[in-house]
Amino acid sequence: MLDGDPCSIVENEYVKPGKGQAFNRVKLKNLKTGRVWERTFKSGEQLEGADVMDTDMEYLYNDGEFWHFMEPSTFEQYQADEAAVGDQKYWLKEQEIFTVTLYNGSPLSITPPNHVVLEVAETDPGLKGDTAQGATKPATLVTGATIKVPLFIEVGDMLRIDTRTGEYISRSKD
Amino acid sequence: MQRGRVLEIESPMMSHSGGQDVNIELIAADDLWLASSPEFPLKRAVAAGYGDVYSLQRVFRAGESGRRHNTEFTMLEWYRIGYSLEQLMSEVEALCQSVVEMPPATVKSYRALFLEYTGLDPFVESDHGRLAELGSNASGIGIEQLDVDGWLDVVFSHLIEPNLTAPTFVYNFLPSQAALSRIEVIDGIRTARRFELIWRGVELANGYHELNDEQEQRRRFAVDRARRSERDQPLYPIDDRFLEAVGHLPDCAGVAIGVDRLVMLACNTDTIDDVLLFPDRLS
Repeated sequence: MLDGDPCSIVENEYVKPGKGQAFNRVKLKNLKTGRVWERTFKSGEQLEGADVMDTDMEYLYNDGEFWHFMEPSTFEQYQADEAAVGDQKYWLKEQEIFTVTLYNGSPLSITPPNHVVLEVAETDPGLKGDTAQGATKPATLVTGATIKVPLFIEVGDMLRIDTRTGEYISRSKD
Repeated sequence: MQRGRVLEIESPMMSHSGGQDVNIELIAADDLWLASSPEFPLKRAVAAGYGDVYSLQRVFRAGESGRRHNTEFTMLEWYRIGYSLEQLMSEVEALCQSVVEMPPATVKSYRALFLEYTGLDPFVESDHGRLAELGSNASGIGIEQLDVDGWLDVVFSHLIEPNLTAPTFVYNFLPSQAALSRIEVIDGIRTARRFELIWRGVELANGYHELNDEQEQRRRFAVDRARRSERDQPLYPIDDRFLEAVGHLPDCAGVAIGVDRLVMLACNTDTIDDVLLFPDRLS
């Protein structure tokens, strides 16, 4: 816990001048905002631990305000708000398993699998046989995400996407 | 060392007593203490008339483990009778250059570096408040959490050291940071005749024009001990034979080099684990 927000430690460097005091220079990621903070602490200083837990959950549906997830073994349901879901909403697919980070028992953030398969909802007509290297066009997925795809992609195609970069990987038969 | 006619001394790894330095913690070995440096035995050898001496050995410091620290590390320490601080700095530079492709080092006083990068003078008490503010802003540490020396360490490591990418001898420290160096009055200011060599953010060497006043050494030990008690830090037995030797030291200068760090620089890495076959860190 730092300044009232739960954080994860990205980097922790021990710094000590030979004759001087020891410090730890720490990079912390604020789990609420995603912002990375750089702070220095006196070595040995203690911070309060945050009650944060990662749990794999199945995405159920969106009711217009909340995104609903279910813990598959207990069937317990959790609702995540806009702040928790953020841009990850573009990768949410029903029945897929996502990592939900719980803070004091409620969803704080969502981490999608590295790769998801999503259907193309809208794109310019495909150009068969156009294999020009690197040529792309925009395509909108059923989730609302717009990504760059090769020219031969058509509406209804299932695409494999890298959720970390938002990039097209391949067409999928799934 | 051989070419410079410096005699190798096999200095003990364990001792009944230890340093009083507020920022160095010792590791216990049975009812003895592991050496945090060979300084006391080497000075006793110099005082006994052995002439210029050195030791290349493992030393041990509790809790010092990190990207540039390993709890046990290799130190090269030597003493030169009749050398000035400047002569010893030149010798350190030449030694480093014989091992690593190191560009010529610049020499800057601690005070000049503070003035250059903060506009504040660490030797002037009325600047200490503003230095603490600068340090607090740069680090996020609460203003009430550190004393003057703590803030100077923060300001130096956060705002000055990152600029010292070229090899730099930093010399002439505050009296409170003298450790075992002499304090001289230079331009009306009490100045500790100590230097450090810093290169690419790595503190490579620490040297002194050695204090040879037994009473002053006793006084400094007492001050460090009092600070240790205040902060509930462990107290290590005082080395009386060392104290006695201090009074018999000839005019001399001495320096210690972190050998693993020199190897790091030679290998172009910023992580000590890269140059140790068996580093102490688990990950």
